[in-house]
Amino acid sequence: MEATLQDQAQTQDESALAERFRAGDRNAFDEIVTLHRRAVYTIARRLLRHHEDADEAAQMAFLRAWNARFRFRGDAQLKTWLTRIVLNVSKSMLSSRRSAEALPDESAWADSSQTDPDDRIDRVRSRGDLRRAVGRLPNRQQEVVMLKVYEGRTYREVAEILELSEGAVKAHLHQAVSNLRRRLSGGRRMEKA
Amino acid sequence: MMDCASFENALTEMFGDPVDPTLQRETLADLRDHAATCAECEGAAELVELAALPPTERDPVEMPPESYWEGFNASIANRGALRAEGQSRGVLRRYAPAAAVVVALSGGWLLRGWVDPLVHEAQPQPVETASQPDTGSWSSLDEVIRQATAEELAAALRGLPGEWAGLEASGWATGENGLGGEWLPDALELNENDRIELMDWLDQLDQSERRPSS
Repeated sequence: MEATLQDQAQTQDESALAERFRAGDRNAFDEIVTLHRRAVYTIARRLLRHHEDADEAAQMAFLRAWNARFRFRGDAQLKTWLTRIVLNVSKSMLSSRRSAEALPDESAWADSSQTDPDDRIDRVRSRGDLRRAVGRLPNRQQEVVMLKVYEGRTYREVAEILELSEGAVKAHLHQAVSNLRRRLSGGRRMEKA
Repeated sequence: MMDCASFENALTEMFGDPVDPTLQRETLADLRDHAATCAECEGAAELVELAALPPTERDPVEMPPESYWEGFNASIANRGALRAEGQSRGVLRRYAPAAAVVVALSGGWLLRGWVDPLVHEAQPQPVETASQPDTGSWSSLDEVIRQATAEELAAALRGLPGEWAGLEASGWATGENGLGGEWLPDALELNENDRIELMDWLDQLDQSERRPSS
């Protein structure tokens, strides 16, 4: 009950904030940036891997949001709308790069809780294989994996962000899992051979 | 015993919306068993372990230090201001003549009706030429608009269709930017809404100019 009331209050707050933002209130925009900047940066960083690129994409995304504030209809959450914008900005930046440059910065994956160097190397290597396999998925499947698997968004949220049906999101996720299973197992067999 | 198809289905479920923790543990055990014994799926063991983690731990993103966030909002604001300035100056430089003509035509046309009586009384000469803008006497039309007060011009702008209707709210139409001598406003002096409307309108003008005539 308390949680429901809190949710309602939050929704009302966000609606009021969104309304001020649409009316061109710079303070409201500033509040929105402060509320969502970490989430926006995280998505950009996950896709682009490097801080400088993620910084650029996150700032561009907020600028685009400000310039397009009249088009924010309010039927989606601000977070959903901003996620859609930063995804598009990051994808544009990615497409202007070579695929090799889009490969992940694996040093960031080293799990410091693992004390055995061999374990750490294996871990980093496995995650590197997985990351590369994800990077070779079709675009839509990559987006679904990023939002569903790594960001932990609900099917509904992913559907809203990508402007798909929930059924289509589930189908893309299933197809991505199937592709990853085959690619990762195929790679392992080749290594053994 | 799980087969490869049900392995994929169960793994997809694990990445899906949260399920009952007990069921999740049982499913995980089945998935691990299958990955350990199936040659077709052994490479997916890493995927199973990924599914066992909460989303926030699956691919943690290294966040920049707090000092970065302290300057983040200001950085956006600065970029926004610079960009608006650059765009405004660039676009206005390209389209200033076209926009001036449109303002002159529209303003002159609208002003004509109600400026006439005033001008007839005090200054009959300019009215005569202003009432015939299609003769090409731009200087006379210019003169009529120059003589209009800021309020009169604001009222005329209010009567314009579409995007121009919003311009009366800005400093442009209220004479705060020395309208008497300047036909075209400095976009930097317009408020944000009016500037966007002006830019959109100029974009439309640009597109219509580029569109090949049929």
